[in-house]
Amino acid sequence: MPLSKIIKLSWLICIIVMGLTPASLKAQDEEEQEQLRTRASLSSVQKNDNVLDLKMLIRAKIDGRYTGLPGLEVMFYATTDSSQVELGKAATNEDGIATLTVKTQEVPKDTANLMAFAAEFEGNDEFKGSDDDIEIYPAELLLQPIDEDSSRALLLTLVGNGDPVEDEDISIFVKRLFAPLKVGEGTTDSAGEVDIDFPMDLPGDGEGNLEIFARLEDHSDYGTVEVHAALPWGTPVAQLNQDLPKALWSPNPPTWMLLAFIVLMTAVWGHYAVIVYKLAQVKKEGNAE
Amino acid sequence: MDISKKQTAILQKFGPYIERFDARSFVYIFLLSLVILVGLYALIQQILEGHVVTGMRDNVVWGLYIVNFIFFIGISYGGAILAGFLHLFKVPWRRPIMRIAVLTAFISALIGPIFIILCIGRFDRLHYLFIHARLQSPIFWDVVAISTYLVGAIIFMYLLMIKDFAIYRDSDVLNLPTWRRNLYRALALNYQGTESQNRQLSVSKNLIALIMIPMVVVVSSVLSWIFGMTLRPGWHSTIFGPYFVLAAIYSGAAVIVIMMWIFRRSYKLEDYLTDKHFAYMGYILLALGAGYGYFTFSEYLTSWFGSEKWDSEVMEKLFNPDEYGWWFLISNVFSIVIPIVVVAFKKLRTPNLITLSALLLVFGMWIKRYLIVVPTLETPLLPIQDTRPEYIHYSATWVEWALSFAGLATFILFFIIMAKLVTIVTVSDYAEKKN
Repeated sequence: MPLSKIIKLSWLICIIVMGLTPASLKAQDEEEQEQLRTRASLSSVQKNDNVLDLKMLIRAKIDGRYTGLPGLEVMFYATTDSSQVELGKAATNEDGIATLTVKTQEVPKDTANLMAFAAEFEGNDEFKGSDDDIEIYPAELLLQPIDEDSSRALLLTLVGNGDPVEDEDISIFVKRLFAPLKVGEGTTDSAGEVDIDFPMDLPGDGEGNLEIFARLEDHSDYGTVEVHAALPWGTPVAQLNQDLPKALWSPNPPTWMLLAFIVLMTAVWGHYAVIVYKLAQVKKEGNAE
Repeated sequence: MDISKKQTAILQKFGPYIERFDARSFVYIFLLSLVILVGLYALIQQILEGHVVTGMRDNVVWGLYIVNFIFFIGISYGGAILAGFLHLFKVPWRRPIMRIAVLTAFISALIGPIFIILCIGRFDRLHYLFIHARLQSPIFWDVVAISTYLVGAIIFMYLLMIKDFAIYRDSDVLNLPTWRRNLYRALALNYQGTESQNRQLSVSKNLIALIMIPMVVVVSSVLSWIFGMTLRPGWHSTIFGPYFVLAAIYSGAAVIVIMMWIFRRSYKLEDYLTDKHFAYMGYILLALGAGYGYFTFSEYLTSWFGSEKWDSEVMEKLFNPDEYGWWFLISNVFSIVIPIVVVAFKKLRTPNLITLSALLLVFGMWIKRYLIVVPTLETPLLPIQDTRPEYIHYSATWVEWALSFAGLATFILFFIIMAKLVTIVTVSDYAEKKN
C-alpha cells in the first residue's frame, strides 16, 4: 500500500475514533439530558353561575428549585369511562399556570354526577411532557350580604352535588393591590350555612366599592369553590384625598402657595428687569459720549 | 476712561497673569482636563448602562451626586451672600476679596446643578419638570430657585466686572490680543466713567446685592426643605432651613479663604491679600463655626434625647464606630473644633493655619453632607425582607467617584480660566477709594 494511502487511512480512522470517544458520547447524552423533566398539577375553581376554571401548573427543577414554566401549551380534556372530550387549550402564564374556563353544564358527567378532567403538556425541545387529572362533583357557594345599622356580615351557603355541605371551613377575602386580604372565616352548619362578620373600616375605591369573595379551599370532592361579589362596604378613598389637600397628587396647589410663588418670583425677576434696564441706560449713555 | 496710577500699578502687576497662558497653567489645564475626561468616560458608561453602574439602588436612591450637589451649591450660596454683605455694608477690607467671592459663587453654581442631572435616571426628561410642573413639589421649588439664583449670580458677577472690563479695554499697560480687547469692549457696555453711568451701575450693584442676600436664604432653605419636609429620620427637622443656610455660608467662606491663599501664593499678592484679610475671614469663620456647632449640637441632642424609634436607628449609625461613628466625629472636629481653635488663639491665627483649617473644614462639611444623605436612606421606614445587602448599604462606585473628581477638577479649571480673563483683584475698586 502506498504511503499516501496509509496516511489517508490513518486520518480516517482517527476521525472515526474521535467521533466515538466517551467525550462525544457524553455530549450527545447532555443534549438529551438538557430536556428537563416537568411536573404537572391540575386543580379546579368552581365559581358562581356554573363557571369552572381549570388550572394546570407546570414546573421544572431549575437551579435546585421548582419553578413555574411560562409559555407552554396545555391541552384540557373532560373524560368519562368511554370517551375523552377535548375542552380546549391554554398557555401557561409567567407563574407557569395555564387556565381554561368552562361551563359545568357543558361538561359530560357520569351517573353519580362526577366530573373528570385531564390536562396534558406534550413536551417540547427543552422540557419533557407531563399530565395530571382530577375528579370533582359540582358545587357552589351562595352569598347573601346582611347589612345592619352597626354591623355587616355575609351569609354563605355551601351546596355540593345538590346537597348542603356540613362542617367545612369557609374564608372571606377582599381583593387588594397585590394579594387578597383575608377578613374573616367560619364553619358551615348542618344546613351548609355560615354567618361571617365583615369589617366596617376597609378603604374601598373612589366610591367605596369592595371586591369580596368567599372560598372553600382545595376540597377533596369539590376542589376550590368560590363566590364573588362587589359591595359598597368600603370607605371611599376620595375622602382620604380630601383630608390631604396639600398632597402631591392633589390637582391644584393651595392658594397661599401659588400667591407666595408669584410674589417671590415677581420680586426677584423684577429686580433683574430693573438692572437690565439700567445696564441698557449705561450703554446708551456710553454711545452718546 | 481715566485710569489712575494705582490702577496702572495693579494692571502691571497682573499683566503677566492675564495676558497669556504660561507653561505652568497649561500643565494644570492638561492635568485637570485628564480628570474631566475620565469623568466623561464614566458618564458615557452611566448613559449606556444606566444607573446600575452607580451604587444607588431602590432604598438608597441618593448618593455622591446629591452630596456633591449640596456641597457645591452651598459653596456658591456662601460666596454670593458674603459678597452681598461685603458690598452692601461697604466693608473697607472687601476689595481684594470681592472678585474671588463672586467667582466662587458663579463657578460653584454652574457645577452644583450638573450633579442633579447626573442623579436623574432619565435626564433627557429633565424638561418634564417644567412642562409638567407641580407647584406643590419641593423638587420643583428647588429647580426654580436654583435657576433663578444662577441668573442672579451671573448678573452679580457681571455688574462687579463692568468697570474692570472698561479699564482692560482702555489700558495701555496690558498687552492684549485684538480679540481680547474686542471682548472687553463688548462686555464693558461703553462704560466711560461718567457720573450718570456710575450712578446707574451703583444702583444696580446695590439692588443685586440686596436681593442676593434674602434669595440665598430662601433658595438654601428650599434645598433643606427637600429633606426637612420628608418624614424620614434625620431629615424631618424644623431647624434644617437655618442649619443649611449657615452651613452654606460657612463652607463658602472657607472656600474663599482657600482660593485667597492659592492666589496670594501663586500670584504673589501679599500686598493685596494681607495677613489681616485672612484674620478677618478667620473671624467670620469663627462666628459661623460657633453657630454651626450650636445648630449641630441642638439637632443631634434633640434626636438622641427624644429616642424616637426611627431617629434612634439613624443616631445609632452615626454614633457607632463600626458604621459612621468615626466619620461623624471627624466631620465635627474638622468643621467645628479645629476652625474655632485656630482662629481663637492669636498664635495660631496665621494665613497658613487659617487656610489649613478652612481646607479641613471644607472636607468635614462634605462628609457632613454625606452623613445627612446616606445613613437616613439606609434606614428605611418599612422593614424589607430578603433584600439584597447592596440595596440597603450604599457604596459609591468608580463611576460616581470619577464624576465627583471631574466636578472638582472643573471647579479649579474654571477658576484658572477666569483668572486669565479678569484680574483676581477688582482694579476699579481701588480708584473708588482714591476718589
